[in-house]
Amino acid sequence: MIGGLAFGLFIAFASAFAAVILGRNLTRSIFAAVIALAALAGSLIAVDAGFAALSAITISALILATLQLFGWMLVDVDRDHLPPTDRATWFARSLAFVLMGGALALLAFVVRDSELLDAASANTHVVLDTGALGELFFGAWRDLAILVGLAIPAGLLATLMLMRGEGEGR
Amino acid sequence: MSISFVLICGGLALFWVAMLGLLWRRSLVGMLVGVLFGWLSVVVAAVGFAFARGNTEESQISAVFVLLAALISGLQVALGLSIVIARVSRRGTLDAQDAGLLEG
Repeated sequence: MIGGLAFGLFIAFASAFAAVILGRNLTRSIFAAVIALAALAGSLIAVDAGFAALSAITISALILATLQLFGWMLVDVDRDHLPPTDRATWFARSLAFVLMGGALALLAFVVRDSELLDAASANTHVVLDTGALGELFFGAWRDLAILVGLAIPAGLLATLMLMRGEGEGR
Repeated sequence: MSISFVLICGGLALFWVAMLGLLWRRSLVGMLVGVLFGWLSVVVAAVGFAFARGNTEESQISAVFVLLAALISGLQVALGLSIVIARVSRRGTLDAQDAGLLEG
């Protein structure tokens, strides 16, 4: 089941990425977002995530439908609406987002290497508490926590700095 | 590798995509989709932590949190969409660079 869940989440991730990248064209962007939402819904249903998660997915589907409806009313969907990004800006933005993705991957490794979630999968009772989380991020993992804490704002700052004053060239 | 770990990692990946959509600033619709995926990443991570807590009463707090995140997401996108509609009706473009300054 975990393999199917991981596959569904990967499809959702890839489709969401496509939805953002294809944002220049409304129809393609919304279509990719719908695929991402469907993959996410399938994953959550597969793990029996419960009523609340499915309600959130339903609300998200309504939001997407609204975006599509108003988008069709407002713009010409048969062509791209924005000029292409120049190569230097594209490269700088990609580098900044790779930095931020690396920081998030580090955070995932911290979670994976901890024993908290493994104990939870063994059907024990409450295994996460604030003391355990504090020990996780600021105990033996303090150095890694500092690294993650530096990497995330560094990625965000690099992104914001690279996007300043780009009005002339896109 | 547990279900909660996979869900939390999926939430982190979706959050990265959401930040990409918001900070890329290519299209107003792309930014709205980014907001949507940002809140969905919160939902996925909350479900993952609910699995980590096991079948306790406190896991219901995660469910309430998920519903609140979904409702706030809906309201936020509705507000953003109203701004987009106003921009497009005035300027006729979805270009986020062109919308850097809000006008009265």
